[in-house]
Amino acid sequence: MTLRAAGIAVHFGALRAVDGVDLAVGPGEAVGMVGPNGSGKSTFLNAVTGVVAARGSLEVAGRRVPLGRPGAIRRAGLARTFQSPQTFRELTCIENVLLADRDRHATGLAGAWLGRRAMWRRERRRWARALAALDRVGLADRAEEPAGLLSYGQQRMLELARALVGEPAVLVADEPSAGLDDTETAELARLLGDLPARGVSLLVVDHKLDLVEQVADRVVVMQLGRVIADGPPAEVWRRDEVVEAYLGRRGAARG
Amino acid sequence: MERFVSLFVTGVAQGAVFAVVALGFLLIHKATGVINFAQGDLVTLGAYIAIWAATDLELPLLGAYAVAVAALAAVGVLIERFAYAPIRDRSIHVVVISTLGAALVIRAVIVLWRGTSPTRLRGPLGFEVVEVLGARIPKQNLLIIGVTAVCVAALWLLFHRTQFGRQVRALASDRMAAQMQGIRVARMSMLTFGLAGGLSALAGVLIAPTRAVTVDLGFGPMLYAFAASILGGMGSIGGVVVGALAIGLVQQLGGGYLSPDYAEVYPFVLMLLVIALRPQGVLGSEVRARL
Repeated sequence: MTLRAAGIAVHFGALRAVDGVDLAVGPGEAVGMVGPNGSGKSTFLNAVTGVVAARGSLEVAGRRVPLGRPGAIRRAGLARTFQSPQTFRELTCIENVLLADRDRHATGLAGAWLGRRAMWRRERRRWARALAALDRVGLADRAEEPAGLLSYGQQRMLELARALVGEPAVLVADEPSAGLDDTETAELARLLGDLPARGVSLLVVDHKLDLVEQVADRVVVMQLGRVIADGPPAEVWRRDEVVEAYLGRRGAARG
Repeated sequence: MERFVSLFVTGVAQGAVFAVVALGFLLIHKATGVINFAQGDLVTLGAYIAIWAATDLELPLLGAYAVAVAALAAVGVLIERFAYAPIRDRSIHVVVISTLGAALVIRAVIVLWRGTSPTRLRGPLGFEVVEVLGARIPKQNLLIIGVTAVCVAALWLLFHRTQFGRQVRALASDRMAAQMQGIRVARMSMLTFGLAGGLSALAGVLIAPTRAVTVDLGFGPMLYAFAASILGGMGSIGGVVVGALAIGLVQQLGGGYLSPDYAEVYPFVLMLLVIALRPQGVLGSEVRARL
């Protein structure tokens, strides 16, 4: 399994925000996670990316990773994008992407000087990969501009490029379409839809159900901190408990 | 004219030393958000280790300088391990007080080890002078300016052209987001404390030949370097260097043309003016809240 989360539980005082969730995402699989507001989706993502303290166990790309250690989880191959994009505004776009490259080797002043030829070689390879990642999201021509100058939608795309340059085993995308217009959402769907073919598994939480349906071949429905349904989208939407918990809202939202 | 040239070069040289110390401040501040107030005593310790290596070990001068820089890099890492890492998650005040504690320990160690009587460190050029536009300029001052220029260029390359530099800047931009990108925060803070320690030693061996060496050697440079960091907006290498040079020049030109009695005060008047008129620093950009 590319991502295996078992018995994930997050408590805020007496509130069980996530109440023992098991979720496995296979290689090249794309899973959508949906559920009403407050059902624990974001908290679950925060737990498996190490942002909030949680109980349970986590495996990324077949390796066990301790919960609560965001850096270690990222290095193990789990990349994430955020509901509001978290780019480094003072750094240029390409620097944002370079930071997340899978080659994390960095040396101090002395090391950089002593090993400078090897360092320049690594740098050139990193730049090539970073430029390719920017090109994929259509930001190659903005590479040298500070990330802070990008529009909201472009910041999202930059964050996506940064998540993907490290060739992660799995991408966790938290509301990736929030704040995007229809054209941008279509572009996002194309980029996310391409991931399984490139060997990147996907776990996506989004309110736009059409987007989830478009990119995911499996849907997990959450309610009150638990998984209440898990299966192919068409089948999941038909289940009574899902209709009751979620699809009523969907109909209302579409009206 | 001779007087102006002489004051100007001395001011730039003084400012250059402040800049080296201030770059140490900047590095640590960017990577950890902390101001390391042990920086001044590291300057002093660097000078004393160079004196020890040159006189007791009888190493050639450049060898003694290298020993001082390497030793202080190690001391920087030790400070990180013992005075910073254990309390990293505490409030910034606690951490800053802890660096002050480290400063007092270093100071006490110096006094116990070398005593309190003033001593000297030779410069590689002795007391040679060179005439520039009629003014007699100590070659040591030109050496200070040259070494600092190389140092600034090297740090700029490190910051903007290497993965290490990008990681430091990412930490300065958003610590949590940087951690989420897999940047090894603990390793980065160790490296920057080490590098800043080495820079302090460099400042120490540069400035020591121009004055008597006492346990207070690094105090003035640290104070001015701190003022320079504030002038420069604590953000960029360029800002810090401009701030440090401005302070060195104001001190020397003010002391030379206005009144030498207040030479120590002029830099702080400049600092207060900048804080009042341009709180983000000379080259700093306005602080914007994140949406």
